Amino acid sequence: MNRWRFQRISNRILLYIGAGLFVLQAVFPFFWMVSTSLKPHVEVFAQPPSFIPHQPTLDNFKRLFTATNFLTYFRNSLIVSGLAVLLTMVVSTAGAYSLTRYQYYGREKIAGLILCTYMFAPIMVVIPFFILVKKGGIENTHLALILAFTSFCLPFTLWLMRAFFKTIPVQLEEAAMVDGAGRIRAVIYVVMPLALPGIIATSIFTFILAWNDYIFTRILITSDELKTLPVGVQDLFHSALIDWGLIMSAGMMITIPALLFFVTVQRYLIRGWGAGAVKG
Amino acid sequence: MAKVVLENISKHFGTVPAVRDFNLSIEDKEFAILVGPSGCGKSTALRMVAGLEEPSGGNIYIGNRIVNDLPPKDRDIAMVFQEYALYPHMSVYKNMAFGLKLRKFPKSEIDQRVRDASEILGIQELLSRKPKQLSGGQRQRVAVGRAIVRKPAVFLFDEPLSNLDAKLRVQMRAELSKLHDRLQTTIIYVTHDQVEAMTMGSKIVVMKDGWIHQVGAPLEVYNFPINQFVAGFIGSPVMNFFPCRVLQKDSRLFIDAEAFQLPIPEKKSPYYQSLTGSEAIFGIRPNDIYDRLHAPEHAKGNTIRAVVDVIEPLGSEIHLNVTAGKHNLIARVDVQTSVQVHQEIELVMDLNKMHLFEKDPPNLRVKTEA
Repeated sequence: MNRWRFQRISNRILLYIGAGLFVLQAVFPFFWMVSTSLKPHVEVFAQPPSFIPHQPTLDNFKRLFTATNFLTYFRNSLIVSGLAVLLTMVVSTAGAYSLTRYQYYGREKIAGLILCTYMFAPIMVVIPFFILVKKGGIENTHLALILAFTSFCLPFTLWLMRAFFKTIPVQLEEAAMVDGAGRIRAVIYVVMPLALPGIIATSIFTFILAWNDYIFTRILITSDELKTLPVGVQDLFHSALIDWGLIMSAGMMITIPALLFFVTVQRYLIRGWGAGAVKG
Repeated sequence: MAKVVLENISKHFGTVPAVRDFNLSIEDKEFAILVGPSGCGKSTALRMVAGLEEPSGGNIYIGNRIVNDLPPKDRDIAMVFQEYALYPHMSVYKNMAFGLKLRKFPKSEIDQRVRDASEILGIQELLSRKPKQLSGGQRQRVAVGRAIVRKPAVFLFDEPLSNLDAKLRVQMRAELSKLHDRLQTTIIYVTHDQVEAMTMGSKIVVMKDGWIHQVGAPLEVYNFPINQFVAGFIGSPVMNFFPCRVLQKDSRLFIDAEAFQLPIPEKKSPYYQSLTGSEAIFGIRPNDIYDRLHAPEHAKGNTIRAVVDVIEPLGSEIHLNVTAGKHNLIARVDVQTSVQVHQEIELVMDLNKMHLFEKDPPNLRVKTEA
């Protein structure tokens, strides 16, 4: 075997070992979560620990669904995150379109200022936001949460969508308008399909942020039946005895929707990138 | 059936004027070309006809309607953009069918029209492809196809050939001319390329700085340019210009270019009488300058002496860059001419083809169509 070939193969092997270590490091907590959620109570603390449950059981899930308010929290999370995504998309798409397609005074300044607002950490904003919500008479409602998530995601999503719209040549819209579309149809048939990767990227961002949020929900929501998963699940475990099997099954149930959402939409991220609209 | 009329059209971007006092009438089925250097307002004028820009003043008529307030979709026009502007997420077929679909044509008719157009343009095999899988020339054809399926009253072309390579450009030029012949529709075509203007149009509109300088048939503009700008812009190689003074001797007019004096032919004299005694710009096209040995009979006599600086043999003709006195000239001479660099040569100017322009005319805008 010649020396270069040997070196190339050994480099390749080292690369795979390195990558494998990273994957292991990322996957192990997931694996541990799945494993623990399927263990009966006595096996959770067994020494030495068992990686694969000896007697797998769905008991933890059964208790989660029947003995706790988990399903209510789950539904709340879905509603709040879904609507936050919807509202964020509508506002940021319309806003970004206006920022890229219309001429008006201070257009660039507005875009810059929007990004500035994103520099504030949520923890700084949450108390003023609470006061605002209270004055508006919508404290302890899902609407308040949706507005909170939307206003927190908007600067970033608006900026991202603006970048996307900038890459779509205005000529395409003009062509559509000459072809017989009004502005709205030109946007729906031509601009939106091309902005799809951007729309998906921003919706993933918003969904995950809303789905995982703890601070806003903790401050804005007081009724148990309105809580979302992160806060609701946290409140399940305030006693001294920590039921790890239950926690891990709840963890799994929280992860699955976010994972599904991501897996289904991420392939569209790559699609549509192909240019060729104009000379290329 | 659509005549297009632009009446006192002007357009400002902020305080910057792009098109000024634009008056033009394009007859039905005419192939009109707006030509001028970049920034002359030709594209803006076209975009106003399309409805993509709003005029700051004046009226635009398509057919007998004023279309100022109509959106592009209701103007019965189709446009081919410089960068093609094909919808990248749609196949060629869908690109072409898009306009018809928006107008709710029945499926069978859409299919028929798309297939007819693709046959005319020779793109039948490409119908299922996406724009990014096409070459520049193919994209150009699709863009034209998308325009012709709609059978609009007016076609608008915005520098459609400027992204193609030279060879393809010549080919597409001929194809577009053929297409016009076949479709018999009004075409407004914008280009900065004077060759496209000369070869394709039945009417050319020469523009600069937002003004129309001259409107006319290609040969009319070529033979009777109205000012120095038009004379220099139309024709290749560029017309030779040099400053001179117009003199009168015994009722005959002469031009005095210091190094030489040339008589103005009698039949041209009446036109230039008003310039007598003043500074002017003398212009003559390179192909109206001959090597003395190969000059046609009617031109002989107006000989000047010049020194050859550069020789460009093109095979069918020779371009000579020469210096006569302190003026640099280009002469397009016969291939038989045998001459060497730095050699002195006798050149003959066909003064029946000479031009004389006012120096620094007070108003560059000389003539708009009545």
